[in-house]
Amino acid sequence: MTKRVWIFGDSYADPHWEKERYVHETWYEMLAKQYGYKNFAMAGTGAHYSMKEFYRRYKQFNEEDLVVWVLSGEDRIQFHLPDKFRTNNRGDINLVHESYWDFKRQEVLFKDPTSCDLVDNFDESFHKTHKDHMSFTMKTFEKEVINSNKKNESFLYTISRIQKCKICIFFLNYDNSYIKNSLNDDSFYIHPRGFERVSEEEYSDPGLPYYEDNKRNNHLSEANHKIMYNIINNFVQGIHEMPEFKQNLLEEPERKTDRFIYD
Amino acid sequence: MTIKRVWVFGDSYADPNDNLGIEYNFIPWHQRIEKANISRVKNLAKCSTGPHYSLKELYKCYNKFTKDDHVIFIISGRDRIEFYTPADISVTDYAYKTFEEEIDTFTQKCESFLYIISRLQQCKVTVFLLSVAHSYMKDRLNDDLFYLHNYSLMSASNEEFINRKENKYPRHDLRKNHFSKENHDIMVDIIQTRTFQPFKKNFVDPTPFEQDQEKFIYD
Repeated sequence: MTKRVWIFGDSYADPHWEKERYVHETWYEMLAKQYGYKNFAMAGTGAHYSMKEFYRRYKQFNEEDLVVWVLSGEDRIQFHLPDKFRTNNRGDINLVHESYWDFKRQEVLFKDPTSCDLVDNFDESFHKTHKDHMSFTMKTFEKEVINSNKKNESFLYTISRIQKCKICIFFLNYDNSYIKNSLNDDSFYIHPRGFERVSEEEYSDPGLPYYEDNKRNNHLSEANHKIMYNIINNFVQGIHEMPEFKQNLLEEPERKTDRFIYD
Repeated sequence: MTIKRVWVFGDSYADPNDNLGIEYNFIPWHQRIEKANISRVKNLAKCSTGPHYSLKELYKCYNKFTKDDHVIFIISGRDRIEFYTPADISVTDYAYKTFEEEIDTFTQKCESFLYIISRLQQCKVTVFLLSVAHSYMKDRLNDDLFYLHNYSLMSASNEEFINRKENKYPRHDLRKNHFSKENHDIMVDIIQTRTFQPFKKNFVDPTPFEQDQEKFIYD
């Protein structure tokens, strides 16, 4: 009997995402009404960040726990932030995630601070002084980063066997999964549709290249928050038939630019 | 079911090049499984490496494994990182700090990934660990396809020595892959039967070995 839900992930699950929001119930708020609830999701982060919270807790899980994971971008690395750059608030996590590894060019690049939420507190000095450090780090761990979600989902599967808890996984990009839905059962579920596609397909005209910058809560419309909740609820209830995310709910994104940015 | 290919990943416990200059009157376990199984062995083990190195080799081939394959994986020291190039200590320290939690969980992630490979590819997987203290799974998920040997290879090596606690450890391990013939036999037995068998203890006289004042040094 499920009594507690634990949520790990990125902006698809972040309850504190500081964006203008539509007023409607989100999928995690629906779950929070049913179960003891703890949500560690944070916009802009990847599994590299969320796993740190998870490692502290997974050995305590049992058959009363439901764990929901959004396995986000493998390349979202929480680079180490030396003490002298720390402010000990949420901005620290944003700051280190503004660097990203360009696998083709084999170099660290920085997001344009004017295109994200960092205009007020963006500290360029960290990036300038640590670019070589980050580059060396990525060259050392590149293969681990590329394969990290395959190992993450494997780890989550073995946890579902050993701790007897229920684990439900959503990928940002389903192609990053090795297991896919081949091992789905009453304790383990991987949803066979990536969130990137789900968000994009809410538009009848997503545009090309697609970029969204609207007010959808967690990149999903209200109807799909309900679908999301129903998928998780069905999994908990042992119902194997899952509802499909709705498409063509909106006409077109509010703004189009040269790339899609998930916070 | 006949195994046609055996894949070996790991460190000096499996590297054919370990103590290459010394002649032994027995065949090491990794060569004997080839003869015993009439199967082709691809040995990718390398002295002084850890899962960070071995996984890179595994990533190149795991999705080609089938029921005809047997993967033998020694999960060695999780902190043996193959840094990109020799670099300033502050740079390697930065890389370590960024991935510290991932390094700490290397063993757990590695064994889980191997378990999933055995499910999806339907190949046999046999796992040994340098230290089982770092394992999460232990032998809890062992079955026909997956076998994790729930005893540290490091302990097994050390325990070969008579009065191990009283004697000092050898500076240079002259044994092949840190084992005497008796435990090479046990290794072969474990791999073939995939059932727990204890390693032999207290039978090697440590006096011929050059002594180290501080500790046992593994490659």
